[in-house]
Amino acid sequence: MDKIGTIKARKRSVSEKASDLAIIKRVQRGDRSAFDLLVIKYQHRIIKLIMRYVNDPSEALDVAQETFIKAYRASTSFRRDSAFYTWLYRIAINTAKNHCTSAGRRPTYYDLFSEGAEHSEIFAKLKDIDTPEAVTLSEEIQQTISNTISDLPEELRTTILFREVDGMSYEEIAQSMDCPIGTVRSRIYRARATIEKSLKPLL
Amino acid sequence: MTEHIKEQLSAFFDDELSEEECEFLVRRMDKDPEFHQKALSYATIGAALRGEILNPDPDVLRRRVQTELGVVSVPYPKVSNPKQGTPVAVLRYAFGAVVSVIVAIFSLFALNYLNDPGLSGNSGLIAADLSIVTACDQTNFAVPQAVSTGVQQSAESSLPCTTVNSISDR
Repeated sequence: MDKIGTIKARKRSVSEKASDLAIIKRVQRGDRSAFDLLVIKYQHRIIKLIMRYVNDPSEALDVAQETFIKAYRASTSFRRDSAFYTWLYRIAINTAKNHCTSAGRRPTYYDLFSEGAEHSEIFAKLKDIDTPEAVTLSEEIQQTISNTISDLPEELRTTILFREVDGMSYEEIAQSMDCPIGTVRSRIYRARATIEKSLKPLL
Repeated sequence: MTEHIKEQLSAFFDDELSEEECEFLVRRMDKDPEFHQKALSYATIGAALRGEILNPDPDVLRRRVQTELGVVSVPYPKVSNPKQGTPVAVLRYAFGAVVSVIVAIFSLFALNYLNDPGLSGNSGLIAADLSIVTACDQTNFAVPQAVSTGVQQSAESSLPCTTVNSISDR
């Protein structure tokens, strides 16, 4: 990794720690409702991660549940010297591996970031987790979001896609779009607010 | 929920919030029922854009975790317009006032009934005792003076003077 890349990675790590630290402190004091916010924030990433090891979507949901419960119960041992997600990530992987071992299966690793048949197969299975009605609703949500993004003003559309799809930080987006970080933050919020409004009848 | 807080919540999902801002946001969390609904929506939008959406109900895992941790999992309340809540609050106050008035009237009738000279010999003693209490602690009790005086007069008229005096001397 080059020097700039290292600095960016370090900045992002610090930012992640700062964002979650206030919540972790409350969780460590026994505030269960604060933990809700971490579940909401990381659930999709954790399920996606677990799906690399556990091939069945409903099992993946069970393992995700177990992961968050283990994390809550062990939260007092979280030393805050690493990002919360890094710590949660390790718990999720260990829980998924243990789940496979106890079920008498060899943990299988699927690389979701690689293109190919396996990748699309897993995401197809992700959609099988619920009833046909739920699948239809999921597709409606995807379609509504896609349509709303197409209708967004250019600067809002580019900003939200840089953030959500490319995973760029606010600083990186600000540099790319030649605007202040505050503008990036505001544009991302406005894009989300517009999408949320269009999703209201579905959620 | 102000636009500023919504913007902070949006930045929280992007790990772009300072610790101070995050602490402020977390303090708001319990006070605002709209907060979790917004958080779920923002998480769903991100997941959908990355093709990670798993379930149309983004709250399912949170509810399962809460249940397992022993928290009574209650769906977050739908946010209602505060103006719509006003008539309900007024009705509650009105109902409370009506109940209070009914209880007060019932109490007055009960006292009058107990002090009826034709009812029994003991009723006068009850009224006389009540007069002692009101006389001793008029400042601390909320018994209306007119009511206690009326009761005392009623008691005096129904009992021999010696009985009232002997009780008052105690």
